[in-house]
Amino acid sequence: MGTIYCWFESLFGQNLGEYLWGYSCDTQVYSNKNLFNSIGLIAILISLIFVLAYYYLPLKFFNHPRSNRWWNWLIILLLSGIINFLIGYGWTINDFLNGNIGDCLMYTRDSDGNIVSQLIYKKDCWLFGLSCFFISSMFFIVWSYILKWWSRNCRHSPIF
Amino acid sequence: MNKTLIISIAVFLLLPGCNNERKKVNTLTAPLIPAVPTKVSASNKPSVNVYVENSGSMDGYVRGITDFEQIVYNYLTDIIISDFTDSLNLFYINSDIIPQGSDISDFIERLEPSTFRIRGGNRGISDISNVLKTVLSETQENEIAILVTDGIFSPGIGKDAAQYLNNQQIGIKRTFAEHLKTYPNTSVLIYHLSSQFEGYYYNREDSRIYINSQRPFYIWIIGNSEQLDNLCHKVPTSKFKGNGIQNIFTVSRSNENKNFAIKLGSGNFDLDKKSPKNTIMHWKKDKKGSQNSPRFSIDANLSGFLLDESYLKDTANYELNNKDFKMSITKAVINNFGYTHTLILSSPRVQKGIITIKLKTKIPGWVVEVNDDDGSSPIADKTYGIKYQIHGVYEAFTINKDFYTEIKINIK
Repeated sequence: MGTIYCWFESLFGQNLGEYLWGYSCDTQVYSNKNLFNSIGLIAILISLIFVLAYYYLPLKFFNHPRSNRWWNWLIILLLSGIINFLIGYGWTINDFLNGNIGDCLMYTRDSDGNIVSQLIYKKDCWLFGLSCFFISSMFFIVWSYILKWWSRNCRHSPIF
Repeated sequence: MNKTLIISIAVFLLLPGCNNERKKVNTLTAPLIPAVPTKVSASNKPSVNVYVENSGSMDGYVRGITDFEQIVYNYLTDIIISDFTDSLNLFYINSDIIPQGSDISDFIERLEPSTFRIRGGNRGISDISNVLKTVLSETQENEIAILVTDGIFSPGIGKDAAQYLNNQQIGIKRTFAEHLKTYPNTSVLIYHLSSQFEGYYYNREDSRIYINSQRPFYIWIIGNSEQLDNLCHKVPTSKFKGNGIQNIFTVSRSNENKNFAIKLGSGNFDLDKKSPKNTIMHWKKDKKGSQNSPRFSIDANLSGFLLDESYLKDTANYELNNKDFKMSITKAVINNFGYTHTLILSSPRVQKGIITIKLKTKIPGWVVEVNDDDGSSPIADKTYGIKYQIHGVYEAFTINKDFYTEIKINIK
């Protein structure tokens, strides 16, 4: 899962990526929980729920004759993406603000221990949220093409 | 039907990814070496046995109040007051070991040629190999031996001096090699010092030559590596009196279990998830800074070899198996892993394979500079045959491996 997220590593930076891989500054190995798996699993489930709802939930805006336009599908995709964006951002900013990210990932220090530079900023958390948006959208598209064929009203949405 | 199909597909998609990642995390910790602090337990202080050679050639160092006496007195006092040991025993040594109690001040006050003569032993022979053999045979577990000697060989009249020196070197090598079999963690530290000398210099044929000048002498310290390291921290070289320490020679056995790790973020690469301490992947040219050659750094614990900072920071003392790599060494950032130095490696191009860095054992250049190969008359600041003594010790320690430690990095 982390490999997929690392397609976007240039957005959120290597150090935040290493934290999410589970790198521990205390052991210098990847002994912490791999957060890419947790966040990725949530992205897969949320996109699946929205796809199932769009194609099979008999409610307005979902599996309904009036909702089978491509932009109806796009709105649901954006909704799923925004939720995943907020989860990705919320998760990392929470760890950032609570000091859960190890010192070796956060700062470069000189031989006296003084901070030379900061390596992870708040903006990296936003950019990781954006990566979550893109990846969940990807999952949403994959789920759509797997599951749409049995939908009564939306099988031709977004296209074909 | 549809629901079953949907759930089946979902489960199929989710499981493999999670399993793969979980495996990665679980296999990471097994092969790693924990960073173990190398402190000697305070409750297990070593005994220190001090042997002062009292052969006839040593008389000139102890006539009146000399630097020799002050240096030895001050050093032994520092050992006691630094709380390094609770037990310090004093001896004269020549062909025999002559106990002198444990009162340092009394011992120093009585350091005179007359006392040397009265306290006996065969003072006419300076068989260094035999002296070292005697000292080592008396040095047991948890004991440190300190030998104070002028280090001058005296082959005697009618002997082949060159053959004698070579035989002494072989004898010393054999003595230390045998000691290492029983005590493999032994290290040797030799301080080269200087003092005024007024008395007779005995040349290689035991002819006496009266001199009144500065002469070198040596303090050998032999014992467990960790305890010697501890001693060096408690009584640093800067605390020596007189002219201070002129030169140092140290040697210890190779230790390949020293902790090291590739420094995260020290270049454009990913750490291998299974072996992040010694393996890098996707190594590329560095995007940061003015130099964009591919690079990475390694934090390493290079302590415990009794080597001074200048030795550890000199790249000439390291050997890389790939000559394309350039290396520089700095002090490590304060850390909890015991890392003392950071090795910064760069290469003109991205390469793959195993990079090996060896911290080499070396005989310092001063050993040849202070060596007198002739021994027919005293030469200022030189010692007859000191080179053979140090080579003998060095060869015993480096018979299997001629490096202190080895760092292997795998670039995938």
